[in-house]
Amino acid sequence: MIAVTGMSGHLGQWVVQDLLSRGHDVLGLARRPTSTPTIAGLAWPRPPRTLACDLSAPDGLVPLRAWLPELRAVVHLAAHVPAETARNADEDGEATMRANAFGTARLFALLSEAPQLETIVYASTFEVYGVVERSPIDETHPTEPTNYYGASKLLGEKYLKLFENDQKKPTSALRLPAIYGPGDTIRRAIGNFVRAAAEGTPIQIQGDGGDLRELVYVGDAARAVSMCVGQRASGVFNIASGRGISIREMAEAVQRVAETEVRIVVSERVKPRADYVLDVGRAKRELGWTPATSLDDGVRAQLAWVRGRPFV
Amino acid sequence: MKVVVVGGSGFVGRHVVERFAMAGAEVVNWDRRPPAHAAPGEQFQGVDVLDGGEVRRWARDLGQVDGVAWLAASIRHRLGVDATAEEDLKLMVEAPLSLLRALNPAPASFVNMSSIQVYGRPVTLPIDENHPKDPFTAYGVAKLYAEQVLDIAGTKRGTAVASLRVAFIYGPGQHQANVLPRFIEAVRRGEAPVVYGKGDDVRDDVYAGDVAEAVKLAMVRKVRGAFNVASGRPHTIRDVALAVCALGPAGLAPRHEDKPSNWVDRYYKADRAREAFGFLAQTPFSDGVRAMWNAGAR
Repeated sequence: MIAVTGMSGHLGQWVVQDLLSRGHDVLGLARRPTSTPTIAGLAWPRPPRTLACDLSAPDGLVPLRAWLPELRAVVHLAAHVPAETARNADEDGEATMRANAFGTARLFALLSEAPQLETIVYASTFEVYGVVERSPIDETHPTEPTNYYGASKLLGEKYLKLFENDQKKPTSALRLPAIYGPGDTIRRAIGNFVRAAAEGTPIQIQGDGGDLRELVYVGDAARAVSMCVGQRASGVFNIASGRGISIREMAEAVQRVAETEVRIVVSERVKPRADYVLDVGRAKRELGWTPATSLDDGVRAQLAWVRGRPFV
Repeated sequence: MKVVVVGGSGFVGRHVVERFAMAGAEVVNWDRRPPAHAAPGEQFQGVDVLDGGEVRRWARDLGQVDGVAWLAASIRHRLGVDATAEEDLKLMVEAPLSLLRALNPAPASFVNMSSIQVYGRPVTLPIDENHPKDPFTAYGVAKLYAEQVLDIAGTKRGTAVASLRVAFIYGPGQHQANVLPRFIEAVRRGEAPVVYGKGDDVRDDVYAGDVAEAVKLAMVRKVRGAFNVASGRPHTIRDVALAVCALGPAGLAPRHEDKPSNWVDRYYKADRAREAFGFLAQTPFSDGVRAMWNAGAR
């Protein structure tokens, strides 16, 4: 049995699909778990077992205790993700501490008692790196997070390492950038562009749109999780495009695949140019993972989903 | 200058309270228990800092303070993640964060007692602040998170947060289970202190009074960032034993026992603290040990 925390989230639903389709038994955990996908177009081959758990509540993991003898692997995705990480709102400081810090500490403490457990796969974030010192950023880049979310995720990575050393079980952490693809409801570049195309309004970008960003297609990220589970992987891995994708390139991809006319409107740049590129060499070498889905294919799928059409 | 010392009744807390009191500051000591002997002008306030409501209530009572020194910690060295991990986070992250947020107006300085445990196993020596941070205890993990979270919260409120990564602290009041107090007790009984193997394990012991001075300087200078606080004078465990023997009966020498030591040599660079706030560990080791010896004899 593989437990997946945060099973009802964007990545969670894709991970459940990927694990089920590989024949695994899945136990899905969430505050409001679901036995069928809520992302239209996803198809789970069979319903997973589900368990209502709240990581941010002191006794929120009690229901999991009865399942400990069954667990072979745990995928820990559940987290509070602030809408705007850089804003460092007080509420996000509190919420990331409750759910991500306390919740992860409680989960790993509980999993230390799971007799058959072989591995934990943990969803971390590129935000653990903080200020960019060199680019592309590989996994040995210093980790000095500048926001509450990144700090809470780094804490989870450090606890994971303690767990691995203490329990002598391999664990892996995936440092993920923005995840896009069907089910993405977050209001940031690519999601906004796709919505604009679907609504027939222009795409707005600032300046030359040359700033490089990192992205990963949700299906590729889910596959990375399954690979880590299957390989009992150990270590931290960047999981991203590996090349950086400019804002303009995202807008133009939407324009290309939209099948309707989409205008790109350029307004004046307000923020200084900031590039962000992750090196995914380690994931390629050690896991055999690559970001297989092209930007056009990923955007096409997301646009189909927004338009309520089937995607492959 | 009005200062709150949280955990002011503990080992390092006493040194910090006395240092500020000596400098003429108004010192409020927040702790669960009162000190055995209050310093001149020290005000004690019994506070359970794990109770957020209590922290906010007493923080309102304080009015304007210039600085906070957060020393309250649970020192245990768990190598895995168990139920104590969450307790560590409550005391060393959540509680100082709620005090920092509750103080109105925001203090100019917040000195957070951190630890060299944030570094984990030494990769390069001496260890400076850029050394990788891979703690191997849950305590070190919590301290690293505390440094980051308090800095973020402080930056938002205009409070300079200084996290002091302190090496091994020794001095009067130190817990008896530690190696130096055990050596002192042995020598006082006229017995030789026992060191394992050749006794060439390298370490950095910093005097509690010097740590208190670092806390004071970091607060007065309102520095922001993480700083090693160490003697900068590494010595061996045999040196430690010899310094204690010098205070005992003539001719006493450390006894070497043929047992393997699992110690990993570690020592630190404290240059950043010197450059940023003029910190220098002034107390020679022999003087610090003598102060412990004399305090114990009372």
